[in-house]
Amino acid sequence: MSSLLGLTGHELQALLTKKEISSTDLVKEYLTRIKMVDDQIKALVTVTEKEALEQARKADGLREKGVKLSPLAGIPLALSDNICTAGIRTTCSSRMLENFVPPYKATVVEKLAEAKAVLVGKCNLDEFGLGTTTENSAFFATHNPHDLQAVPGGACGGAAAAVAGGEAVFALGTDTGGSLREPASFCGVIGFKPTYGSVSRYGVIPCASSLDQVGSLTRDMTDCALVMNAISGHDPQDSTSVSGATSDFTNFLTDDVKGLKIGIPQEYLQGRVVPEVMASFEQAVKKLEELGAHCAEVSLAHQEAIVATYQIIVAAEASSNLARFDGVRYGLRIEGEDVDSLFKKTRSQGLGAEAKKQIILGTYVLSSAQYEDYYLKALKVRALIKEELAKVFQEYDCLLTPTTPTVAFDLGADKEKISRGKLDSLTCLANLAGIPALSLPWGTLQGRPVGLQLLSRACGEETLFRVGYTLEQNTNQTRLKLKGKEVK
Amino acid sequence: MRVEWETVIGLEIHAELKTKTKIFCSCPNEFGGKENTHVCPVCLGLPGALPVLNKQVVEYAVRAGVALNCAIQSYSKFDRKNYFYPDLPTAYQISQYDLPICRNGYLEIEVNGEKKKIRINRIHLEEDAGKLLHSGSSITSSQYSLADYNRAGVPLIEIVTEPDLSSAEEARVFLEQLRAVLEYTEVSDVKMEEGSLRCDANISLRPVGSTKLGTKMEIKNMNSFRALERALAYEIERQQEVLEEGGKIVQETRAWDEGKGMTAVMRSKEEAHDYRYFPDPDLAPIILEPEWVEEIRASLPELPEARKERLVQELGLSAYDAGVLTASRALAEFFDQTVAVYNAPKVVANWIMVEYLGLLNANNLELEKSKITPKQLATLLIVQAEGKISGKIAKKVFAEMFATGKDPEKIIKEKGLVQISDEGALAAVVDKVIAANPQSVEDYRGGKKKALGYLVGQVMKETKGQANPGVVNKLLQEKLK
Amino acid sequence: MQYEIKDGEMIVKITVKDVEKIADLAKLELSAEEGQGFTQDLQIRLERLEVLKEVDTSGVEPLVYVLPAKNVLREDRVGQCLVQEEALANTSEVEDGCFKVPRIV
Ligand SMILES: [Mg+2]
Ligand SMILES: [Zn+2]
Repeated sequence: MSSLLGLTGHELQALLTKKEISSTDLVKEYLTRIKMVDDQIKALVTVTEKEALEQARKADGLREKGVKLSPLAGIPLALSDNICTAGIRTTCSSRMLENFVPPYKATVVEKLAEAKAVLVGKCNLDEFGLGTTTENSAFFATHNPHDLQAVPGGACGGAAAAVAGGEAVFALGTDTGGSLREPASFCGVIGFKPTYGSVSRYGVIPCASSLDQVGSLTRDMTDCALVMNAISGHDPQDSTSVSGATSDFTNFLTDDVKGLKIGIPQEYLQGRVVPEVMASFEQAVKKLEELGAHCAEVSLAHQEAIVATYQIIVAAEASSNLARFDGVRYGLRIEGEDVDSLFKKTRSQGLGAEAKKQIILGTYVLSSAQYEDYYLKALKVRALIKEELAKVFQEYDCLLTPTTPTVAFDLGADKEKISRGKLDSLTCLANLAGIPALSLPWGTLQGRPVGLQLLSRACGEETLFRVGYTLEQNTNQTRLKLKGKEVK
Repeated sequence: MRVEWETVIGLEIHAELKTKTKIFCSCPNEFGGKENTHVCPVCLGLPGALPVLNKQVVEYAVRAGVALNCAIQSYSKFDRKNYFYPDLPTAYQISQYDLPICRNGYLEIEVNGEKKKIRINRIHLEEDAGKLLHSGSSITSSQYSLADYNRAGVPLIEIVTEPDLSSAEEARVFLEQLRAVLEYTEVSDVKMEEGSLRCDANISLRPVGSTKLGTKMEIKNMNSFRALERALAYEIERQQEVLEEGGKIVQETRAWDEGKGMTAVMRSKEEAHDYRYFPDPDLAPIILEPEWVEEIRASLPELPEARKERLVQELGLSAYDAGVLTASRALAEFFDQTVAVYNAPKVVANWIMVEYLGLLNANNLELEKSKITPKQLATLLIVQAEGKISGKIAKKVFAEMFATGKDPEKIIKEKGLVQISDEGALAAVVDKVIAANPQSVEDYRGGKKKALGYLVGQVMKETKGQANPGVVNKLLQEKLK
Repeated sequence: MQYEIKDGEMIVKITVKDVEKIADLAKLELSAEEGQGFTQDLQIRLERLEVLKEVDTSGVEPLVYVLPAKNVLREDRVGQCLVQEEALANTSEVEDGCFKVPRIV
């Protein structure tokens, strides 16, 4: 395997700056790697070879001319295929959008283009972001590079697998209830979901609008900061985008957790997390205490209601967001004798089973007879949960949990049996409250990665970077070796 | 015993706001245009596109709300109204459900000299849908419909009244007066024929004295003031017949067919939708601070009622004349500007109402498109008052002004229409007329004073109307002594 | 809507008919198999939501917006539109610059 493939973005940027390598060479290396491993990992829905080589050449040209370039210039990246790319098909891993070529691009795509980062491919996901294993893709299931028998997690499993498998240096995806952090945890990479509103959602095909947030998958904390620097900030095209000045995330890369107060919702974890993962997690707690942090047990109110609240909101918002796929303007179209049958045939053949089940649930909880008992109730409980977390963060700088109740399980396994709680039961809290959350690799269990999750108050990104960076600098648990087929 | 019926009508009015751009995107808000060219990812409902609210839309809605005596709500939000239809790109209409921007207003109308307050329940903001055109020569022969989304996302206010109207005439008068308010405040083009003002009605009948509402019927597709009045009159009669025969009214939606002059069932209650309203998570709430509302209130122009009052009280016009002149802001402005130059309100009012509106109607022209300016009309009336032209000539000149837009003096000069008041110049004509009409002369001298009128007329005819009738009269009387 | 008693609690019993009605609202056409499967699925999903009933939410204002943002407004200025070809590019059913749909009566 080439030595370039396991490097981070900033390590590669150093080589590019010293002109030891060119972006074209680097991108070619990645395209070769994709050809080599993706038939097994199946992370990508579309490989953008032509565009990538052209972008790489442009970046090299600018570098030749001595133009000052961003830290991401010339670096290969992948995008989850729910992020719109103009002129490049964007499928959401759905039959519905199999041939959809957006005439416009997402704000984050625009920003990455400005940074001269190089798009090598669009990644597989659970159809429209609905799922936790990437098995709900209409095209194919993605495999975990650490163990091809295992799922990569989901919904953005393709993006996490691409970064873990050496098919892209970093990737962007969306996180609705853990859709970035859970695959990051399963695939052994860093998954970061920033505060709701800090990265524009414009051009990102929604799953549940009030929960969705664009975030990153990277190999280390420095890359995470660099990617956030490139993509965050106010966007006048997104009414839910936060205004105000943006921070330089690299300033948060502090190797020091002394005096930090870290809360652990022990009671919440018990009965949800499997013992082996809990044992790994406790080592992390110990390590943080050694490094000077104060870890203490916190209790969360409304524990039982968190997942139910999340499920109602996802289903309701998704049912409305997915209604526009009716065959008239774009996407799949199955003719019918009248408008009603055009709609029904198109939607029934274009949408997968899980999407339909979510739509049924969402339509039910929003129907006038059920609205108060379910949807309105969920909004009220959401208010309580947010309030509760705000209280917790008055006392603690962050919360620490495992990212997922288990490590990755086998493809096709019965998820109900494996995780006693729901797979997203530890992650969806952050989306309900709109707070930032980080998933950090923490070693492996029989070859399958374990993830640590850190949560902080809204706009409390600094603490997460500080804890993540400190663990990265002081342990060998956070940076896992690149996995997947060796280059012959 | 015969039951007397009482009619209960409530209206729902949609008015398109006159903004430059659509409500949630920066596409132009323009009537017409090549199909699907005023569209973008947002109003075409492309996945991932997001709405951002147009500030002017909020200000226009507040303007309308203030003008209609509403309580402007300090907190309002947008909701999604979910339903599938090919003209609705996202399969939900962004509207306002439980927290509209304005509530509890009223508009006072006057029908047959009686004033009545019609309460307005609410005004809310929403987006318009696209347009469905029918391919083929007629609706019945077309195989498919065509969707044009240029209108999708055009800002609307929906005004919902309480069921305070009790006749078809009241409903028509209310809509006319509401139209005037929306035109005065310049928030909408209010053109029913272009669809920028649309009206649906809810109507029910109940025995006089009953306080319980009867079964409500919804009537749609009334595209003019006349259609509204006709449709409601038809429906009142139809329902009364059903009830008097002991029948029952079933709740349904009916459409007015202008050609056939009747309503027909569109859909029954069973087909009623469940819109699954919920707050749109893509938008932020609207918080209206009192200062902002006051700023908008202060910018409002004089409204039709106040203007009418002023014309009666200060200028001495009759209530009827004042009503006609203030029915549209453009007309009222024309009147005021004419009076500003020539301060004879009653004369000006008469001219505008008889001559000007007559010509506009005959030519099927809107005031805004007419070539005559207030200053030109004032000049004409001054010239007439100074005796330089006769009333008859003035009308001729006015018609010419209407056709060409030329100044009255220019027309008078070019056509040599100045009134002849010079006795010397008229004497010869008077002599000629006396010589040519011996019978009339004899009649006059014999005491038939009416004959003089005939002779004056003959002189006017000889001079092509240019003679000053007063001078002619005087000359004739002298010569026939 | 039917109910059944489960663990001493009244629980909604979802029927295939209920699901068909919901599917119609959502414009989904279900095969007989899907009708059965989705009914069972909805029943299970709804039972999992029962825990919400235990949370006391009296006097709680629903959380509609995650952010404290308000009055996010845009100036009334005309911007870029798509050209007609772009607008119509993702469908083949086009006539006279419009999207074709089955006849609306
Ligand atoms: Mg409406
Ligand atoms: Zn638009």
